[in-house]
Amino acid sequence: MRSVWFLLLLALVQLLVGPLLLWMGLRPTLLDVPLVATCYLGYAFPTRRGFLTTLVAGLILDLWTPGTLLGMHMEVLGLLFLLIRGLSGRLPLDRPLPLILVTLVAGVLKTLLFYLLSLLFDSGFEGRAASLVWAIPTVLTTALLAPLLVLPFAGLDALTGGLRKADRRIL
Amino acid sequence: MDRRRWAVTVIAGLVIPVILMFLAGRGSGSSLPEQLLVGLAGRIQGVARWVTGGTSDLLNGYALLVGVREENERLLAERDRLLQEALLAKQLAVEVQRLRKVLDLREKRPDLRLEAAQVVAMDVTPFHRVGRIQVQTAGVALQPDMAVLTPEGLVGRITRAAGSLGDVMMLGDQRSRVACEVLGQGVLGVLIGSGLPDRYSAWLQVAQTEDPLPRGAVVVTSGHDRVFPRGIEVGYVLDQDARRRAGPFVEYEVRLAANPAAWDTVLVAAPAGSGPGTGP
Repeated sequence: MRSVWFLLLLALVQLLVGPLLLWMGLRPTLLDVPLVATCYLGYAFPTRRGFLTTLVAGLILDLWTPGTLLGMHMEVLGLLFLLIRGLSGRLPLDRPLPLILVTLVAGVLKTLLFYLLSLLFDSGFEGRAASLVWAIPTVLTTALLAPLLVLPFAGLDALTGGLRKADRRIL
Repeated sequence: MDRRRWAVTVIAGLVIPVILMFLAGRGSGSSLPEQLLVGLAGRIQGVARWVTGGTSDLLNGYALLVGVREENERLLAERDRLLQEALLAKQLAVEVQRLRKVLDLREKRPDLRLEAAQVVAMDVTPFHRVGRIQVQTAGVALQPDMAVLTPEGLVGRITRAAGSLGDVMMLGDQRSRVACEVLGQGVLGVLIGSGLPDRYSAWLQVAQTEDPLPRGAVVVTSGHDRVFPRGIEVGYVLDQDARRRAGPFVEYEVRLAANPAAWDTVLVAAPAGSGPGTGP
């Protein structure tokens, strides 16, 4: 049930962020909410449930995003979850600074993985390294705002009782 | 046992998406599961667009306006009302003009069967330029390879379709290929999407033996690819000095005529020899 609430909240936030940024005169893709959600899943959820929730979130994003190959977000977010899960044992990801750093690294990796998987699986894709530069503002903004973006998910967990006591200090 | 279960979960979780990507990247057109999934997602996006549009209207047209009225209640209330009416009238005039252009195009090209479609989502990433549209006319089924255009010119082609919903690959997408000719020059070529994230443009590839094309030359579809009907405006040749060699060809940068971001409503044309109503 915790995963279902989490996915519903992610869908809602994803739905609102784009139009909100557009309304503020900014690029609608400036914030990568699914990336922050994956970071949160990586340190706040049990391993197996977190991984499966990440995959379902990836599938929803694949369907939501026109032009993306089915499975692309699933694969990328799944790999990032495993990475973040591994780091969560060594870094206190419920603290702002480590969260910012990990989101930054995960954002760069996500961009590179999208590029690589597009090269491998999209028959019509012609890779141009210059297009990677396009993702820099998104990665930087998302990383800097990650401690704020994670609050709705932590808040939901606190409301539904899913968050462990030790994790409540993020709020 | 738990460790084994976890290993199986991870392997399955990483291999299944790879298989999905392999199948989706290899396949052309739309498989039944894809049609179902795209259809479902498109309908949810349509509802979301309606909800966010309504919220935005409420915020812009009521909540913020109430604040202004409170501040200027005594002196500016009447003027605000008139300004609002004038703005609304202006917006309606622009909308009417846009729809009139769409209708004009349908009258100008009686040889094409054109159906109006609403843009429900637009994705511009470093990798793809694809939009999702929904045909407004009931009972019209979209098919892959149908041309999508605006009164300004060609927008792209449908790559995936699910009933009245379809994904449109725009001309700026680096996977896009369109058979073209240069109007009045008798020069044939292929228009290739540039895929550049910072501008919406394409390259026109012509044989090296052709004379240099003048700046501003109009590029239209030639119809040779049997996807796009002949004579639809595509764009204009930019600076001829910026042309480049590509194997046995010369490439000219083309400014695309239609800016899909400026249109909420587009038109869908059936490929030669079929009609929009004949889809699965």
